Amino acid sequence: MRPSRHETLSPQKYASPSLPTKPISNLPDKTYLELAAGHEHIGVWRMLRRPLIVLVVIATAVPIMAVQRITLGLFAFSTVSFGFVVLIQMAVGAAISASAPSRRASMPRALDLWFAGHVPYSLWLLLVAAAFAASPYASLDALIALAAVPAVWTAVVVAAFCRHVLGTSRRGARWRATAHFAVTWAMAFELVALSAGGWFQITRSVTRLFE
Amino acid sequence: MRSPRAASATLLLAGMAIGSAADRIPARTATRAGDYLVLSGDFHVHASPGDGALSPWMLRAEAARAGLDVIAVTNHNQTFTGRLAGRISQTGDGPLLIGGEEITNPQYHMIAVGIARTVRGADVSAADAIADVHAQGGVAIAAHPSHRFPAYNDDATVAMLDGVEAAHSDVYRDQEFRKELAAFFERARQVNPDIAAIGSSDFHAMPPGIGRCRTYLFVRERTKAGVLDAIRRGRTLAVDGDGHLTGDPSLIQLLGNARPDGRVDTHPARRRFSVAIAWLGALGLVAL
Repeated sequence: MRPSRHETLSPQKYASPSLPTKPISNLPDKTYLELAAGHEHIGVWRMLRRPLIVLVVIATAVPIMAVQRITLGLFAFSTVSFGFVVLIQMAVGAAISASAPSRRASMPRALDLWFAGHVPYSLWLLLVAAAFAASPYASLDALIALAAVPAVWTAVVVAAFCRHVLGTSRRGARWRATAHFAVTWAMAFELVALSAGGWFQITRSVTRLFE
Repeated sequence: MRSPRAASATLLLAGMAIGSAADRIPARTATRAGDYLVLSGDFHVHASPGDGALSPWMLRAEAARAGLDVIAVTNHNQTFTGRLAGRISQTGDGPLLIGGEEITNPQYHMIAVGIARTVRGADVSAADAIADVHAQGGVAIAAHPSHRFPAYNDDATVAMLDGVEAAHSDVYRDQEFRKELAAFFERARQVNPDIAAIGSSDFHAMPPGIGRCRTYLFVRERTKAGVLDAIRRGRTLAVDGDGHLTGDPSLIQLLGNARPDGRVDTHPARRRFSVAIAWLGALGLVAL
């Protein structure tokens, strides 16, 4: 059950198995503060639950986006093909969590809360899938430009995560959020450049936008 | 239902189950023109792992839905996925998968079909790339030739090519590009009258899907060798998404009104419904 607007966000409520993610997206500072105060120890399954949801979202969105169809086979193949994305995010989350000596949650719990911050990108991915399911001529440039919203939103969520779950200072949180932002986009561009034949492909695409 | 998340997961699974049940690929009928079997092909498709969203297995099924007899997997500057596709093609029934590469250089993009060894596009001229492709037994096709690719300004290079993309999915986003493709094909035909007209989707991950623009091939046998032979000898027609044909007028005449089957969507309403409820299920998992 989600708390009402005026309800107190108690740690016990958020320590429940059906931990909502929406408050983390809406009020990252307040929610992460409450969650970190819970000191909850979780098992491997609970730690993997949110990463699996991210993988499910990717494996659902990709076939819908690419072929406007979803089947069990397409879902299974997409899960295998794009599992590496979640593994990279898990490695980044583990690296950031390990970099904070004053962490207020166990590593499994920190990773669980790290993936709770994936909501902005998940929603963007589902938006892209819906756009292409509705029209094959949806503007790819516009949808890519819209990725600025989850990028900024995620930076705010990551900063909140660092402050309240990892126990960093405000400055340390900003530093880590900026580093995360830079590394995420550098990796994304590098992946695109590698698979598209070189960085000149990216510079050419960017140049075309201004022609 | 125990929780909103369980309800969402159920919705997602139901969507996938309905989508699977609605996914029926009808049998294709062979189209003949004169002494030839007419095949539909798409020789510019990207796959995963690499710069495409779908694995070769998924692409093969999608090619069948799109009414294609043959596709070439041509990732940028790598042949691993193409070789994988070639192996898959040897198993079971379904469209032929031929391995290849989109040789990618700032001066040119070139589709190589039927090669196994990567041509390092960043390091070689277009002429040297074509020579390497031919040495491997493959065919070389100018990919989306436009003013952005100055290597094709050289007539000697164009004369070495086996084919030219004369129809490409991007013409639906850019009318100037459509004119450039038409002008380049006319110029290539003057330099090399037997050059093959190729229609391609250049599918990566977004619509329009594979086979939106395609190639009709006039083959003597439905094999990789038969397909490559048709391209080498220029027995092809490029087909755009509206069905307009580009290529040798005698082949257009030979084809007459006959057309290979196109894309078939057997249960469009069920497909859309399955997508809608699976999408809602995924949204529920994220937001609830």
